[in-house]
Amino acid sequence: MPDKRKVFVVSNLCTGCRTCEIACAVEHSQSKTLLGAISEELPPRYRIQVQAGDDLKLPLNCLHCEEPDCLFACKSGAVSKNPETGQVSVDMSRCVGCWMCVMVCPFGAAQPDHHRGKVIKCDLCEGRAGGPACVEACPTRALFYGTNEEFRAFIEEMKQIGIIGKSA
Amino acid sequence: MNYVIIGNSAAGIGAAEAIREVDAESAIVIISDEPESAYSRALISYELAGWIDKGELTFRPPEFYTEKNIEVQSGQRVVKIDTSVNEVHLRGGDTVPYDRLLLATGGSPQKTGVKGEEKEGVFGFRTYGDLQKIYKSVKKAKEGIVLGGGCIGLQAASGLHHHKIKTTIAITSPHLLSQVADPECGDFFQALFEDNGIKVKTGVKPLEFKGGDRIETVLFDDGTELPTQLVITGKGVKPNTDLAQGTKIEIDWGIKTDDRMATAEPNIYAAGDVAVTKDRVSCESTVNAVWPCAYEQGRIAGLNMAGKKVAYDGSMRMNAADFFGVSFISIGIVKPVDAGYESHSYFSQDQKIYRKMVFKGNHLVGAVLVGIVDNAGVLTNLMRKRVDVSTIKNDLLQGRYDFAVMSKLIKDQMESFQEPEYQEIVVV
Amino acid sequence: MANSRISVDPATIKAHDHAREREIPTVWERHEAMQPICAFGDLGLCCTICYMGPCRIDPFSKEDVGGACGAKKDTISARNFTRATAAGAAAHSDHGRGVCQVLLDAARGEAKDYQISDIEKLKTLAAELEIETENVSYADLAAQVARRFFDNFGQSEGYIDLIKRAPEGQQQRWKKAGVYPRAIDREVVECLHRTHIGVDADHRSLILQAVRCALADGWGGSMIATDVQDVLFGSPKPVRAKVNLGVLKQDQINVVVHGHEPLLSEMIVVASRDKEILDYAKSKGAVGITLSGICCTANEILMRQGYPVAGNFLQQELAISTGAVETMIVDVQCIMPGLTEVAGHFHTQVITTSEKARIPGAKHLQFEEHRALDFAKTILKSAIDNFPNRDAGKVDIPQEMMDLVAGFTAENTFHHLGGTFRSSYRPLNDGIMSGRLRGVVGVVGCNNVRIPHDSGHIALVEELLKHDVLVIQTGCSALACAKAGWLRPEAAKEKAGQGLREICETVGIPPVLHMGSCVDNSRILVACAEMVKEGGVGVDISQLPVAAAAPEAMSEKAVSIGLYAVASGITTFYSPAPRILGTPAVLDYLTKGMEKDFGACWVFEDDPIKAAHGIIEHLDRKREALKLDPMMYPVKISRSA
Repeated sequence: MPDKRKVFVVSNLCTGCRTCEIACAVEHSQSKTLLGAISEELPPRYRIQVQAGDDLKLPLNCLHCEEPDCLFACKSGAVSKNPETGQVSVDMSRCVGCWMCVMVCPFGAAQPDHHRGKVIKCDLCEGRAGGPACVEACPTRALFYGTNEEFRAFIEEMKQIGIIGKSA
Repeated sequence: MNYVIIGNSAAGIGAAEAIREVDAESAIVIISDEPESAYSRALISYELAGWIDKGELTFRPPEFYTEKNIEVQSGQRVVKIDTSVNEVHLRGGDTVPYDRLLLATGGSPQKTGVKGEEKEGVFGFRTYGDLQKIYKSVKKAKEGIVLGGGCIGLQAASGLHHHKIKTTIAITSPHLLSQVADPECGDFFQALFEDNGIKVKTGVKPLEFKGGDRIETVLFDDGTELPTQLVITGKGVKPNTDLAQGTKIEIDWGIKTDDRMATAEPNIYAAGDVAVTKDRVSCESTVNAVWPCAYEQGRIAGLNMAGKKVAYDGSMRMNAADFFGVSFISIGIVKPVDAGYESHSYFSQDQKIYRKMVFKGNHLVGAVLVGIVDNAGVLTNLMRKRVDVSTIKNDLLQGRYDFAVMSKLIKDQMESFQEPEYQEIVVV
Repeated sequence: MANSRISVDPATIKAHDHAREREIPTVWERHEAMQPICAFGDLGLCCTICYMGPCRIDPFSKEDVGGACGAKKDTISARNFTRATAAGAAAHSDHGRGVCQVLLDAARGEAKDYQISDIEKLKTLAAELEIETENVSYADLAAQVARRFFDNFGQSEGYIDLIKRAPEGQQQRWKKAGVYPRAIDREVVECLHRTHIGVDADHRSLILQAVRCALADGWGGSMIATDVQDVLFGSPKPVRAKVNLGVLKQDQINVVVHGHEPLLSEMIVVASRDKEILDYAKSKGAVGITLSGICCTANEILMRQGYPVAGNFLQQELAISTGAVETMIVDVQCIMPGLTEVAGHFHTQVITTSEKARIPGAKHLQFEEHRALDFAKTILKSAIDNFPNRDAGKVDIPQEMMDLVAGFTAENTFHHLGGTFRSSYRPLNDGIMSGRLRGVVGVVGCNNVRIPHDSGHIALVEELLKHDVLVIQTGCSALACAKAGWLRPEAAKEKAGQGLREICETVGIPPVLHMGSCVDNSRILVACAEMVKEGGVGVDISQLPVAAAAPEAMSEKAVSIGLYAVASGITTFYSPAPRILGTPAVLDYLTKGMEKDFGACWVFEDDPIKAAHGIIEHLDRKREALKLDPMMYPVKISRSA
């Protein structure tokens, strides 16, 4: 079974602290340090966004869809989906900033970066030793990196120890 | 199984990739009358405008075909389909047999019907070939005229401007982007173009392209005559339906298809700019000649050709572009003609932000976003899934349409959100 | 967590290992569990001032739309900075008020256990305050001084008295900038008022008020605390003592005093020498009583009484986790509430004694100045009673212990330099002018768990000594270097550059001089003023070849200290930076703008070696501007360090 790991969200563990956003931006900066990142000429952008609803705090990120609309819509051929890992990635050298993916992503996870003229979206921090920076940074374990099965097991565990409600 | 695909653009590639997901073995032949390997038609304006380097139009890398074991016959024109023996005839006389055939033949620029249209220096703007011809003229031209104020026309004008050509956009409609935006929004873009040195002439029809062999001036119906060495016509695209002649394939402007992208002729499918599909917002049958729809239709066609039973939920009008750093996205029905629609728009000249939402009953059916286009896909999704948005209508009107806002609808309208991603995201 | 992240002090590492083996979480574990640190807070972009929020500003957004009220990041972080300064100044100053109260009570005979120990200092102070000293009893004089100082806290007119000690150059700069401090409490209150929602939103205006408040601390609250403590308990004199966890004794009753004020600890010193108490201790099977200190209380009884020091800020829990402490007596400031959790694993009782500070899990015994000695005896008896509860199996005391000399002051330090026969800053200034000494640097401040314990102090001071910089120290920083052995006169030979060594060896002083607790940073201000007065090294503090450093700053008090140092003309190298790094405007004012207004600025450098080199370059620039002689024994900065 291929290792289809991605970032899952347990929305009711999210406190809305936006630490994931910061970690994401720092990871996608030139300097990779907080102080370096905030003083870069073109500050890095975060890919994950903590969105707020009525009773909801949702750290939303690319879900690496099974049927990725962004891939279907991309007219420069920059978007691809790795059949092994399931990861949907953007070849930045080929992105032309046509915003087709922005227009079709149901989650708003493909965002236009007007300063760079390219889309930005989660790349799962490819190559980063500790896995995605957002997951590592989350102080409340509202983000989980793993396979679907691992995630389900995690949720069960969280329910067992009462961190999330059994009704959930 | 022999799969034959006519057309090597979005729909054709979408189909080939989908077939390969299901059927790794069978032969796939793509026949294209263009000499180039798969390139993105939609990007020729980007290249002309200098936003991407010359020759960066490749939509799939050259090794794509060998990796996927797809045979490509480039520069070959199919002249006839013989449905009696399941063969297509090439111009040179060769035949290619098929078990499943996809017509992804696209469309061609419509003729303007204006006198002098055949003169040198008057171009359509659709293919890589067109682009090459324009490049040759660009070097000599000082003045240029673009006829058409849609996305392609505006991008073409930006392209000519990039090549230091004094460019005028001339349109019959009273404002730019008249098919996809309100006057307010069109006027905003007119000001933007004029600020950047491109003239816009509205409400005029070209009467004649004048000159010798080469274009020298364009005469308009208001009596003005503008000197020019280059004209780009952007009057829209007509589906290439010629091959359907003599078959049972039904034509209604384009090739009629069912929800599996099949035509009336057994084993023949159609997809992309040539295909008539059901618009999922308006529910009308129409050709929605835009890249995302073309690819998706190709994909649905390919999956069905390979034996999967997958229904297409319909196409959508949509387009996205970026003019002088101002983004523009238009989705669905944005200029309703009959009653029963409800439109709301917001405009800020200072912030360069425009937003319009169109509702029909409890459904969102159209949206225009200018300046800030983040989360546009959430709106697209609301239209595509035809969900009841009554509980979030106020949010939408105030420009709040991130996923968190939309997520409220998921619980109540579960049937519309069956994809696995929704189960992942709203776990608890 | 790797030991290199814990500390550079072997005793600390051993004690921490011991706690870790017993699965007793301490500050390091709690800090690790708290990661990641919130970047909005860390950068100073989080505002919790009103109840519309909390609001936070996206540090990556080019557009700053501000919080709910419209306050942008410069306003938010300047307000936070100003509030931190006010809290720090309040802590020092309230300490000063407390000792004034005891001086007054002692003068009135209401606190009979206290007496006026340094009559000379009292007279000098009274003269300075223009109080008639002829034909006035000492008690009356003390009462007048105390009342006058009380006025400095709340007076509605005039300015704080001791600010006059500053050189003319500073006076003028302060008046020009509009930061001449009026009354101590008033400046703290005004900081709070200005930072309330909807008042001052201009970052420079806010920081200038913070400056005024900090000056009211350094030249006010802290200075009053120092001087009155000297009057009450005697001015420190050089004294030998021992430092580190090894001072705790297996066979003795270990009583640790921790916190900041000497009022109670001085009485415990007296009580611990009481025969009745010692006999009682023996009756319980102990050989004697070991009284030692943590943090600045340690510094107070160290410099005046020569009592041993168990450790500095980050060692407070570890002292308890040795299993050998019967009682830890705490008063105010820098006392971790986590102490009682650690104490719960042992027989140790934590006793809170200040009405201002109670800690869940601790026993509270309200200290009463009017019966101070009795109170001290009661506490010691309670510690003795606890001795039999000690579980020998749990005792594990690291044996590390170091000698040191403490007890230098602005008045006595340079007696040594000049020889004992005359009190003058001349020899110090001459040492600097001749190029034997590069300059004088005050290295002060806390420990901070974000930095390996003591590592910043040690590395920075070691590098400074090498380059002939005379280092003066207070607080936890002094204790860090004490543990490293640099507060011994022998350290001159081991660590100092040639010029510094010559001076130290001639006079017989260590190359690092212990000048007291953190309120005693006021002694450094006075020393700088005296250097100016002596002449030859600048007519204004900002011209002196001096600097300050706080390489492991932790508390709000440190912010106030840093700010009054800079505003007094002493460029200060500070790490980690206060929470302003997310705001270019505030950062720019602190690190550049203040140079124009006050002749000195903040330098935020986290690498202690780089900071040391920055300090050396700073001193050299000052020397060059004064056209002083070149360094007698130049040492090249080795960048490889």
